[in-house]
Amino acid sequence: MRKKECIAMLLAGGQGTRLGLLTQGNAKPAVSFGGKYRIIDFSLSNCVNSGIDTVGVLVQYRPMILNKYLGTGEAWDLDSADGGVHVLPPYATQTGGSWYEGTADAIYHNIDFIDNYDPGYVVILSGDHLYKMDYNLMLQEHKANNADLTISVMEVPWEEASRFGILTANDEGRVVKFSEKPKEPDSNLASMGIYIFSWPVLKQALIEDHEDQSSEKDFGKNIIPKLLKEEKRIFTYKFKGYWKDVGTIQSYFDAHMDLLVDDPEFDIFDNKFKIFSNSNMYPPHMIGPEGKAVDSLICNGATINGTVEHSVIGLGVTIDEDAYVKDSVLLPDVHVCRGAKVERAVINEGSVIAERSSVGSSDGDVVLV
Amino acid sequence: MKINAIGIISASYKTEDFGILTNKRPVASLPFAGRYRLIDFPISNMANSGITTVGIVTPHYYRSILDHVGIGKPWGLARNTGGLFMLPGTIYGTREVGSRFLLKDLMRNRIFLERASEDYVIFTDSSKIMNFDMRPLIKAHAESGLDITMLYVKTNNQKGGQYLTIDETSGEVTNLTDSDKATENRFLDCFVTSKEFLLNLIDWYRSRSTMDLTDIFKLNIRRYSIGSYEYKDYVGIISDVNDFMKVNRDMLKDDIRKELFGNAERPIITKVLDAPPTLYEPTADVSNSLISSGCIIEGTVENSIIFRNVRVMPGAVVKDAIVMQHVTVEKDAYIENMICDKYVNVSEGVRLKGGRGGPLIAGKGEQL
Repeated sequence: MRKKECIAMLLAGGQGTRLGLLTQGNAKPAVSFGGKYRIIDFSLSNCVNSGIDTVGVLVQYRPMILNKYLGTGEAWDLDSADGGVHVLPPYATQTGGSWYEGTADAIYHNIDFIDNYDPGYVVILSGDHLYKMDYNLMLQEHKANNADLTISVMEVPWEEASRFGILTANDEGRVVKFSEKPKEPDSNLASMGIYIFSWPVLKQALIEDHEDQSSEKDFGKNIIPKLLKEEKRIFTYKFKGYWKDVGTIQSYFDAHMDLLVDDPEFDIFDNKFKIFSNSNMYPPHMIGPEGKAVDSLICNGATINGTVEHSVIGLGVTIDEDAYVKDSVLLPDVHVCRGAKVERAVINEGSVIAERSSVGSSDGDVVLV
Repeated sequence: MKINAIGIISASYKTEDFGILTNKRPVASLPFAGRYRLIDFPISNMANSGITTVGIVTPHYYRSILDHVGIGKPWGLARNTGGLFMLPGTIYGTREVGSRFLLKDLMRNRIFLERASEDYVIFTDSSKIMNFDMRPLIKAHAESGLDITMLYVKTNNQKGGQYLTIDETSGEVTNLTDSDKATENRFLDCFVTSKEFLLNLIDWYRSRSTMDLTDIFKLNIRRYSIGSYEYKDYVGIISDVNDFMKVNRDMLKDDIRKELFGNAERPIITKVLDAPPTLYEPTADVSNSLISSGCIIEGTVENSIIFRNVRVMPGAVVKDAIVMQHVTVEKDAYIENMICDKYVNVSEGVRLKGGRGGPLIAGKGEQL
């Protein structure tokens, strides 16, 4: 095996309970997004666009759809013999088996996997964020700082800082304090949950943390505070650009509406930083003789015989005659029957909206069906 | 299920009936229905019928075929056993225009036949738009014990192609003609024979290698036993630009589109090009059109087929048109009854309209 400079470990085992129905039978990273993508596409595409060709995907909660979707990794050009994408579920050993108990525990159990590539650096990612980032730039800073750990941060409005994990840095950008959801924040640099570790430092910290019975085996709660205490060189990397955690129905809905504004900040049409997805075999979509679509994104395989306004319409969706869809997100294979009305709603994969029924309203909260 | 047959797709024939559309590409790689190419249909039909060894007889300009088909991965034909084979064709000149199954091509690729462990061979061309389960045809042929079984469709639209005279009682083919008002049985350029028969044929006709297999059948119509098999579902036959326009437009009809593309057991597969969804701006006005992904639509589109990554700017009108990949129709331009090949640019305010004789065609990359 050739030595890799940097590999990525993508945490994809979370349940994402705040997404309700969407994650009932499906892991959060495998939830459909933007009509044809799945949330994990954004992190995977970042890896590929950053030249990282080895990605371990840590799965645990309902991984079937995710496994199938990742396949051989071909869709992201990650089907290489020397690296590629690897699905890493919990496994048993001579002493029994256990679930991944926390984010750090998941990585701990795959130390062998990482050692196999003998990397200098490991990027730790979440599979549920929407952003475009070149991890290489972050790695360059990590190396220039001779850092043990670099944490990607964003400036958030001061009044919102108490909702995030906040990092306080000195003039050099070296982290002096980490506070999870502080009541009185002294910094507005929020952690994005994207870490680059020098592998020997991380490996040792994981082994020590594993021995610590009181630890919750979590990066934010345990590993980072531990390294801070040991006065390891921890630096921030300031990211500017679009970043969204799509962990709640409202933020998931808002992120879709962000795609529909003029010159969206998160541009899926940008060829220089392409978003890859495991595409499908649907024919092009059909706008029928009476169909109408404006101010919307529409995917292959859709058949539009009704009216669509300001919405995202997923793969294989059918909208019958006299049906009306406005300000909504329709996931793949939804069927809106004749005369039905959908407004400000997120409709889960494969749902059928009955004839002449009505879902959502123009002024209420976003409805999930 | 694996089936006791291999497939050979002829992509090698040349025709002048498509104007500049086939200047630098064979008919087999003509783009179709927004995201496909014609050759997707025979390859998908074979793969969906359980055929795991498929040979493609390549034409002169085969770059686009290699680019599109690759090693056959999308069709599950990138295999250790069998798989997809490129069979270099020999037709370069104009003498064999219209030839589909040239004996010389088989002789050159004899080893492909010899190595296959299957007993039967099904041949098709690549200009028929159909979702065809080949298994019943292959089964019927194997059970009949005949030398050859030819596929045909009943049609009253006689244009090009060959026609079969069929004996009503035996179902056997008694004549094969270029055009015959007496019969409406159009040969679908698809037949099944055995590998053994084919290898014998290659030996018998070694000295007359420029003959087409169908010429040899015709010459021996009384000597060989040739059966017939009727195709009863939708088939779009594309033999010139007007057919190309018509069959593309057939895809706007719900029943035909569903029959071809809505069959979960037999999907029509093509090379995947990952594009974002299509964006409809507030000014978009689209009706009765088939639109592929990655487009940005700000203008009007009517009764048209739009391929991937097409841009229709504000005030532009696209009517009764086929607009291929990466075409831009600029502000206030108007096109009607037209085919725009890939990378065409229709400049601001330009108005273009095809005539009664057929659509106007803009060649690849033209700036209008």
